[in-house]
Amino acid sequence: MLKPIIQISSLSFTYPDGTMALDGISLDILEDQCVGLVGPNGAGKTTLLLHLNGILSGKGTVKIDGLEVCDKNLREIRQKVGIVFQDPEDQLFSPTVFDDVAFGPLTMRLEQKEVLSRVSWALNEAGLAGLEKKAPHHLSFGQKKKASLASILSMRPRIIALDEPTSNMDPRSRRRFLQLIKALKATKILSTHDMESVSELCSRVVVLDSGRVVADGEAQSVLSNRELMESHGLEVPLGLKRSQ
Amino acid sequence: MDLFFVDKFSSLTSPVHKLNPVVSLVSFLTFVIVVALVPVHSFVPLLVALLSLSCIVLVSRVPLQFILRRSVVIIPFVLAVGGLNLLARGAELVIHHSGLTHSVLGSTGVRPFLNMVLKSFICVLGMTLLVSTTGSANLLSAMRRIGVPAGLTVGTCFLYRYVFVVADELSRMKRSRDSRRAGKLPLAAELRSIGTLIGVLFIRSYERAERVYVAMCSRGFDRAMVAPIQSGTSKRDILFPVFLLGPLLLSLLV
Repeated sequence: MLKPIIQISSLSFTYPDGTMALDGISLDILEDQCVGLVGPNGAGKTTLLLHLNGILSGKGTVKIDGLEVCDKNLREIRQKVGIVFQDPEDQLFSPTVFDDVAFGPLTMRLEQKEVLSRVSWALNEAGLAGLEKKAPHHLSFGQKKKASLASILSMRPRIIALDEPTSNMDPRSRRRFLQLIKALKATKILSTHDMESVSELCSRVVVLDSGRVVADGEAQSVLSNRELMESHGLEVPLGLKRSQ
Repeated sequence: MDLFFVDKFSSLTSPVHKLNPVVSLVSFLTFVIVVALVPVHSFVPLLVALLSLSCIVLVSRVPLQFILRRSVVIIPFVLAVGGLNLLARGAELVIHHSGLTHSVLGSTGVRPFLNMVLKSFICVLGMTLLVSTTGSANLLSAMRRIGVPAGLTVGTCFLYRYVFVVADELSRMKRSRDSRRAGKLPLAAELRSIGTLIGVLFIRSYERAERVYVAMCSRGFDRAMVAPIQSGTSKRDILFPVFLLGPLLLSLLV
């Protein structure tokens, strides 16, 4: 039986300006599950992702692979949880693609040989072999997204959280990026408004609104519930509309 | 913004481009220092240095026109300083030693002036060649390895990475402002609008810096900068400094 790799219990978080972003969230995510985190703007999706590796810490507990997210465990937690941020310009901060992909393994204090092997593996996985020496500003947007993914793959995380993975991508880049995500062997969490990609990739969907979990269940049944989706500012994916 | 402005041609694959960045950096820096120390009335070492650099330009396959265009930017500054040198009378330095008085006249005239122009040109040519064959990223990593403080090199890394992003952001904001402007504004309003643009750009850059920091922390950054990957050395890394510096040092000794 699969065990929960992420255990969130009564998690609440309020930003310094008083905005309550998370309000008593409890959620268990099983190993190797692919979960879609959906909800309107300001629902708390990104805030929740930032709690998974201790960038933010609210009231309540978050456990990753049995390890509580707290200061003394941060080093280990950040090796287990990789977050791909929405804007690749924020994620890729090094002067070359190689340096960026090597950054994570270097912070893990790995041997140089191991770092090189991981970088090469991650770039191959992301379909960017041969672009190591390129500066991020010389890449296309699709390539930047792939490089962002490679930058966390090189750390071999067990959980990959993607914040708006397909935003601003043209259809071909989007398709290729989704195929890439689909092939990854890890627990995946997609925070997105792109219902089509959730329908295609995720087996489970969690709907967040105003910092609360308002629905949690099997992807097709949640996504095809028109009333639920529309009452929380979402839409039934086109593929499911046709089959209804 | 021209993305290749800083290190155009650094992605070529000539033997000079394949040098270990540390070897390139140290060789060119030593070369510049030696050139700067050539006596003011001595021209042969400078011509030898120019010849060595010309050979390296040919091997590197970086277009000569590009290298020259980049290198001549220094000429107006040298002419301005050197022009004063032509007009002024040299300062007299009087040395009293063991009861004897020596009087040394500062170097002025056409020969020292030409010497200065040539030296400056050669130094800038060397630096242009260094950046064009090594690339900014490798250069920064080499600086780290020769002991330049991490704070300085990391800061420059971020500048190199984000100057294009910020410049693009500014051009988008400017385009948005111009597309909503029906006519010319009074000067005060124009200045206010430019001030607002700069202010907003600063806030956006600040927010981006916060997001970048979060992305770094997510990948295990703990305020200690990681050491860059070492690159290997080959025979050409030994031959290059010999070729670049050998003839110049010989011509100074002969």
